[in-house]
Amino acid sequence: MMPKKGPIISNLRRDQILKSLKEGKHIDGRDLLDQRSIMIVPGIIEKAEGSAMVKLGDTHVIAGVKVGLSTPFPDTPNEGILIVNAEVLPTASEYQEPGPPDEDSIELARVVDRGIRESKMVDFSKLVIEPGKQVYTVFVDISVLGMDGNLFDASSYAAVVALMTASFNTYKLVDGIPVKTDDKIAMPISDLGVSLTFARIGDTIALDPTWEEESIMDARLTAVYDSEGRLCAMQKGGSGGLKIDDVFQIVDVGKAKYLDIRKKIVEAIENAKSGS
Amino acid sequence: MSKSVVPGDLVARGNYRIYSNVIKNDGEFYSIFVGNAEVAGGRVRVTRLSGPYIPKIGDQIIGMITDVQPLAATVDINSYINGYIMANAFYKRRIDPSKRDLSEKIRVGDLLNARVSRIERGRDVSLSLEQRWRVDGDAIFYISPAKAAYLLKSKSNIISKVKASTGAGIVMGINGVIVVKGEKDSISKISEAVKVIENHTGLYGLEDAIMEVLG
Amino acid sequence: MGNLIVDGKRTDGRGILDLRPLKLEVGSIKNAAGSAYIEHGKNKIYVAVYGPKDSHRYGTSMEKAVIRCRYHMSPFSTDERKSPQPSRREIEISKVIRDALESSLILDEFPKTLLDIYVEVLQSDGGSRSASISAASIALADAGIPMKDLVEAVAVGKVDGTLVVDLSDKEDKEGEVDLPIAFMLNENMITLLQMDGKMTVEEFKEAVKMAMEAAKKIKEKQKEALGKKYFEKVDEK
Repeated sequence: MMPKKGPIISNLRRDQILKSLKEGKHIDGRDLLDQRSIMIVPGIIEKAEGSAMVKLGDTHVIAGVKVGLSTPFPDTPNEGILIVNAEVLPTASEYQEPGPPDEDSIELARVVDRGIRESKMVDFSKLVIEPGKQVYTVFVDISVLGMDGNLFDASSYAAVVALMTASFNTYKLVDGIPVKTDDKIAMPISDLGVSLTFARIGDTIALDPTWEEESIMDARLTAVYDSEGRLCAMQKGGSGGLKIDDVFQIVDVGKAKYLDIRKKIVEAIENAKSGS
Repeated sequence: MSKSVVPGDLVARGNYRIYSNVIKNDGEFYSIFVGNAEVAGGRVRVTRLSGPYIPKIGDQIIGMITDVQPLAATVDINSYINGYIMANAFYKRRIDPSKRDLSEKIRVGDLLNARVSRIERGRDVSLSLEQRWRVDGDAIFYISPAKAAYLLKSKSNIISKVKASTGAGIVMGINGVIVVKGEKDSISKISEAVKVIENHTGLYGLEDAIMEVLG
Repeated sequence: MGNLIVDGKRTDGRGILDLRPLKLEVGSIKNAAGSAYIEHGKNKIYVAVYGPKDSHRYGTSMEKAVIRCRYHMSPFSTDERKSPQPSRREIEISKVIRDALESSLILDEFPKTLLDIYVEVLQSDGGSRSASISAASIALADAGIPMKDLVEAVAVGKVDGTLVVDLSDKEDKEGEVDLPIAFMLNENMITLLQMDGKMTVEEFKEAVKMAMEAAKKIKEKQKEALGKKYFEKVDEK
């Protein structure tokens, strides 16, 4: 509900950014449709069932997966549960006060949740201990440690990698009481949702905005693609609009680029496996 | 000739230099309000039918004092912004705030007749006092600023007609505030007229409707 | 599955491009600067606009009015009673509705002020955020807030593999895609877009075009509602 927290951009800096974008480059020198460098480190939190740290430029995010037990939702008795939460920590910037998640963090969590859920990357039917009675709940918690824009993509990649590398002890019901076994299973993964976020700044469309670019942008559009290049989640944000043609251009560019990012994610996971 | 428009309706196409309450996009003019659009004499204009009072320099308004400070008074002008009047305006000479107390002259709740003298973006609006600035009466009414502006500018002099017909004294500000002084039956007639004003759809025929209810 | 569309007709008898019954009214909440009421399908939603109002306490801007939007569902609005506390879903919806409407408003006339939009869902029936936006836009026009264009919204989706317009509650829950979109038609602009489900890029583009046609029909209803309150029967004088 509060006005946007963030750097107040001087008019000079704003003009500098706009000029750069008009000339086809991000303020950091990248081409408009290029992403910043991505660093992905799976398994960074041993106590979590799954975890990953992602650095997208200077945006720094950690996702942790914890698996718990609960009764299933009444309308999905044969499925495990997914709960995604996000918090921008006070460490992220001087403008971030400690406190409960605000509307931005709530939106972030819900969009990452949609990307995971709708891409069908986790097979929730395999997360059942006893149908209708006891299922696994997968908690994905995202902590933003450093803020430099595009929390949507950074958080999504971290959440996806944390899930793909997660493993947990199974439980079985003994006389109706859940008992932990020594068996560990990997999180049942059947797909991968790749998130791409674009910003409209004036007349320019740019992929992966920095924080400064976000503070002068008019609108943003996040699109998530599954393994077959189908759209499975989208979210428009920002108080400006997007021309229909721009939206169509964005989804086309996303479709052309998602495979590269998917490759990076898969490579990072492979390297971590062989490394350890 | 005027046309009913809603926001986003195309009002005119062409090279008009003078336009109000529309946005211009490539030689096309679109209404930004619900209102009556007129294209005449080289101008494009939409008269809005609703909305808050938007202060303009020179507007004559009726305001209510909401705060009295040593050097100035804050005035509620029935808008999204307040007005203020410097204490000096209430005295014939420059005053020394340590020697004079503005609250001797005015109190919170007092009504005054004032004019918008200066507008600075994001700040309270500066007001100057009319000659007879104290407003006294027996009843106060509020109508929408859109309709107040219309009635005050009406060529048929509707306000004088109402005064004549009811025998009441009427002071009206373009900010929609009406103060009436008169006998009980004058006031109830004005009350009926105000109801008609508020319930009347649009502006066309408003004066006739008012005169009709006054009999 | 496979029974949501039979012989080209949906479970409620509509064709794939048909909107649910829609009723719009302007001005029923007298204290508000502007207000509107919408019935769309079983959705029953009131919107009240307060402001612009002077506000020195809350974080305001020297550039323009600051908008707050609260989308709130009454506890009796859904099948299961809903707690009156704002849920995360309501908070997100409040945000996207605000963004959808703000794109249309011209707010630089009102620096250091606050404009509040209150959306109260008395009964919810799928597509409530879209219905809220269409109603809120005319509530803002009723309040005399200057705007570039009205905003209309509708949820399109995919049901039994077929693209359909204006999802019913059942279609929302059992269908494959839910895609609410809001438009400012004059500029061919999209001001709200959310999607969940699976669809190809081609299906998405087709769905957007279908939504735009539906938005045009909703705009006619918005104009009728405003006309009823503001314009006399005689149009040209």
